[in-house]
Amino acid sequence: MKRALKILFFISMLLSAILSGCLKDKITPPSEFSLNDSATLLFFLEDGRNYFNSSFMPSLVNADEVDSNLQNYLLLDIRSSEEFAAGHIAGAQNKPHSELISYLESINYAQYQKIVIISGNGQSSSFYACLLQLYGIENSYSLNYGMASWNMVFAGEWLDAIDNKDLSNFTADIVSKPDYTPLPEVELEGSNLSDAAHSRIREIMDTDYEDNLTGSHGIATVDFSYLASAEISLQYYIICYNSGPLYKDFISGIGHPAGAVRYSPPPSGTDFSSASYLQTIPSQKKIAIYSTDGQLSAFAAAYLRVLGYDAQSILFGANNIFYDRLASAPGLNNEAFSESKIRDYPYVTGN
Amino acid sequence: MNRICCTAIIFLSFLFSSCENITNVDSAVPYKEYTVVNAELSAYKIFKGVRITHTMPLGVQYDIQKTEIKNALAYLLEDGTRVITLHYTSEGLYYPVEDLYPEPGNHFELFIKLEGKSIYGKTYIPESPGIVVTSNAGNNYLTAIVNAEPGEAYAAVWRVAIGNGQPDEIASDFYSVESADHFPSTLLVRTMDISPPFNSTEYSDKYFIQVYAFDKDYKDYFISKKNSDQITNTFTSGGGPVSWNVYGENVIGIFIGVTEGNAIRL
Repeated sequence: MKRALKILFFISMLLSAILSGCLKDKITPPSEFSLNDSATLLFFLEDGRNYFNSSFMPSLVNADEVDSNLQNYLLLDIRSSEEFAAGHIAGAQNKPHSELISYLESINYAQYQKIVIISGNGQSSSFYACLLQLYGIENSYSLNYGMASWNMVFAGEWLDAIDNKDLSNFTADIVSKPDYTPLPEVELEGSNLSDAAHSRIREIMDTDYEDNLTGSHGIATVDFSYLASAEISLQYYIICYNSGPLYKDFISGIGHPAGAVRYSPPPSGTDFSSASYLQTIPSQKKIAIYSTDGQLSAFAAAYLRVLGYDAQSILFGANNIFYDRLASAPGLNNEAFSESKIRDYPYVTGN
Repeated sequence: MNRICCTAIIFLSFLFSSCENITNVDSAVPYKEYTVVNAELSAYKIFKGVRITHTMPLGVQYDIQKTEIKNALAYLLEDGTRVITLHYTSEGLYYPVEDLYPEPGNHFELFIKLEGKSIYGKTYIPESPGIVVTSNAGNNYLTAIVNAEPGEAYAAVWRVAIGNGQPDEIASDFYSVESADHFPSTLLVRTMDISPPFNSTEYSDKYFIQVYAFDKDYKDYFISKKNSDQITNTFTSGGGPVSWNVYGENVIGIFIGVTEGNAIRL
């Protein structure tokens, strides 16, 4: 019996040696290494053409170009039916923003050289045109300055928005970008990445983009007057989305609201890319973005909102904050809205 | 008693024969494909991307066009916070959308999703190695004593600055990769033998030693890689499994952070 036990012990030792030898090339993975939804969404947005960080951004089209291509361009006017009935470009169709994707998917949209989204002042159309681009409808554009550039009849909103605010809390000091923070948490729903990302973009497409100055804020927009109080501005991380002298004017010494941080847009910069400074934008704070005219910042707000940031575009941008400085600054004065940007193209009324 | 012995012998023969089947190529056994992931993150140097390919059966000529994987979803996670997406370019290489220069002291994780399966790797970019002293072992090889840090391994190469605008002569590989188990401590790292004709006094004033600091995983890989080299000398090399540090089902690969120290003249 004792000998039998010895033999059994010998066999078990031999077995362990052999089995451990056979299994030597096995590796033990960590218990959890699933991919994160926010990161996979960012991957989707940056894959392929990487629209938002490319020279295609912002996809704006001028009134002159639209007028010359009325037969080739699909014009989708997203204003209310009352505004549309009061006057629109001949051939334009009135579509609510929430129906744009479904409508475009129901037709052969690729047959059109450009799909032009039209709003009253170019703010909301920029937001939705960006979302359509991110969705993969690559021929989507926003009419620059909206109907305001088409005919003086529609230019009232823009002309009324031109303003010079109190700049007493402005500074020329350069503020460094903060440390990286995690991406906002986003939960994707869909059987594959493309479906899930499309579903996310559709969700943001339903956002009402309030593009009138109300002294307050909407979901994706904010009036600078609302931001002007120190108490409110502290709730926001303010981004100056411009690579030129909008952030720091060396001549006048006027710069930007205290605490604002500059991010460079394409083509000169790609600060919103993952390999650059995207994640220096705090995910737990409200984001207010301004550009020269509120259109580029609307594109930025769309992109950031898809990623889960609570981003709001400052309506009409620097035109509504320091118009005179904008109009006199070399390199920026072309961004100042004026009557020279308003055409006298015909329009039709009714539905 | 005889019955026990008999059972043991039969059982052992089964086991041995099953292990032997691993090394015998049997065309009847279906080929098992592995996904291969390879990336190095070198401090302050432009990141050259992650290569994702798959293995080919024996006897099939290697062709990158046939082995590259184009449809992976991949990203890096730096210090548990910053996501850097990686996108297919060509020949199985996945790059960030902009140039990336990894910084020492940072941790990187690699996440890949491929055909519904997850792949994962993790590494660390060491700080520049702290050199205590260097020496020349009779023009045969060079040594350095380095301050060892936890989680790091060290290796060294010799360099000979020939001058006259010619590039440095450099050792073809590391002699060994060393790491410590207790801290604080120092380690001796040595280079491979200096190749002729540079192993002479004529060149001894042109010698440099350059120490590399690696994520410690590299040591296991280096040793096991050496073990798996083709057998050219039965007394010094042999077959064996390679230690990979990329995890996933049917995945092999290495994902390693490294910092090259300055070349130090002896």
